[in-house]
Amino acid sequence: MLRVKDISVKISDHLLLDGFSCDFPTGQLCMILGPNGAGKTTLLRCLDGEITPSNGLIELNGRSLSKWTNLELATQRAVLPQHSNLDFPFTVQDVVLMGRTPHDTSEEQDQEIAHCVLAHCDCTHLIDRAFPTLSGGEQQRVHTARILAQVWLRVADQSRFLLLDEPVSALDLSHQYALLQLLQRLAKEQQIGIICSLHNLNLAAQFADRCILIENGRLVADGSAKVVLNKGILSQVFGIEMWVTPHPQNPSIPLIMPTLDHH
Amino acid sequence: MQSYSKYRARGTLGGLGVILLVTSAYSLSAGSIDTSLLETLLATGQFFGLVASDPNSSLPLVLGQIRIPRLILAIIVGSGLAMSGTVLQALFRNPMADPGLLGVSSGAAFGAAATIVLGFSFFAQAFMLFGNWLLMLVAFAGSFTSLSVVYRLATFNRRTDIPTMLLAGVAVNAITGALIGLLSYIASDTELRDLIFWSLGSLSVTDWWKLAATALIAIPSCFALLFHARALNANLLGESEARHLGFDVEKIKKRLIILVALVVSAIVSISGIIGFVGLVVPHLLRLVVGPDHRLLLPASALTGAILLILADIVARTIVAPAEIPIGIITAVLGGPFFLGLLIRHKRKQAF
Repeated sequence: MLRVKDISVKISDHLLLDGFSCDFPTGQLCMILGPNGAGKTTLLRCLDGEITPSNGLIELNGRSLSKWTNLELATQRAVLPQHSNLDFPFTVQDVVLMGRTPHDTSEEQDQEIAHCVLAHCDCTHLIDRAFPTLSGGEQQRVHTARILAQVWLRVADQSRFLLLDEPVSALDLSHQYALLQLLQRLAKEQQIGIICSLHNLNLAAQFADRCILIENGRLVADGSAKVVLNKGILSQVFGIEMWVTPHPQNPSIPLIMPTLDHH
Repeated sequence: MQSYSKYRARGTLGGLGVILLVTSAYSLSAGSIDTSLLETLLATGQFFGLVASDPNSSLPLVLGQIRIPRLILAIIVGSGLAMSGTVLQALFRNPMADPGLLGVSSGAAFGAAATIVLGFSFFAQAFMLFGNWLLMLVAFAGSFTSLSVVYRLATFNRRTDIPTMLLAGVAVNAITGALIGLLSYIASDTELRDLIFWSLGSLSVTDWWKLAATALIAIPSCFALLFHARALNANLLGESEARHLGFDVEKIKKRLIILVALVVSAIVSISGIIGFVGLVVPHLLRLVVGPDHRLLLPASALTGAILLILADIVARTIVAPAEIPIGIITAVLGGPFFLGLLIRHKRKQAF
């Protein structure tokens, strides 16, 4: 359980998060939604320990986040940042194997895991390529494979968490779907707690176990896609009129698009 | 590009080790008295008392007092500078870092120069007793200060700005250069000769004790650097990424800066400023062995040693019986290499 209690983040007079509270259990794919500058990335950076909130508390399994060592955290939690540069010519395989650094599993086992996650991220054909020569989307997939490798095996009876900041921002449509399907399955079958920020509301509607909508650093709505992604809330938060209709193939999934007459 | 593999790493390091042995043997036999390899080995054995000595030959003495300490120094300086360059490049996430360019060497040189010029007059007595150590201590203070200043200036928001880094290095080099100039203005004639020697770089060493002091600091520090290979790999992904992979980034960064400053100051306080080794070696090696520091770091040590032994052979033989300061040789080779790098970097940005 990752517990956020009443945190606020203030950076040079700007209140990026304002008394935010939320619990993230394992086994759930939770999407963080909201307009630009709402505080999605700030929340993720608080959860991954990069930002220490000026107020409030974040706990992992009942223990304050700051009390864990980096290594302890690394064995049970992996983080995909929004941007990541790597200018040195590591091969894709090397990059993915770096995800196994915190673990003392055998080299053969690490290799096996690397091949497995690369296959899941559709990167097997890239395995010997130098990372800097890849396209933006390919690089994002390889980084995703790296963080999956990091939490692929459960260590003892520890909980596992994945934090992803806009993991599909550079991916084409089919890879967006493939990744979210994979995340949904990992949450359900492997009991990993996945917290993921996203801009595409329809992807969230289709795959999220739970949606959290943020505006101006405050939690606006929290619940299933059907509850959170309703016309009233979305139109108010994003500032444009929205159409929300049931998905033709599955009425429990809302289908969202802006109305044509909002000019 | 090939992935890292333990077996390939062992093969590469073994190969470099053999090349190092061959160049070392050649270096011992080359010089104003040219000798065959067999004679050299025999005389080396005689000097260390392993083989019965021949009273008519001066060769054991030449080897033991001049060539062997010089060879050991070349190995320490070459591997130390190359490793420092490799570590700095990983620390700055930037292939243009080098102890010379970033002012780490000149910071140490200023410390050493200040000790020589000011120390002799004020603490003559203490200097006689603890000279080598005092020199190294002050040189360390100089290199540590330079490196910390450059790192602070060039790194903000967890990324390193290349122009700022190079400019900060230029500024530190200019300041220390001016201060060394000031010291040479007030120095006596003998001190002045020492100072010039510092600024050009030289491997001539006749004092086994001085060499031992350098070795005692530089060699353990180099070995300590080897243990940070995985942390350096992770650091190349970014500082947050390294933290999320379980590394205590702040602590490791501080430790690496101290270790690099120790290596560079121990080296500079005996051999002066020898530039570009730390820039060229990791660059060339990355093209051949890849960027993984588990192989790159030890390979840098071996290649740096080989390169410096070769440069030293050139320095001693090209105008024999006189010799050119080795810093000139490495600068003549390294300067154009650096220009080439800048041109390549510029092209990459243009497209």
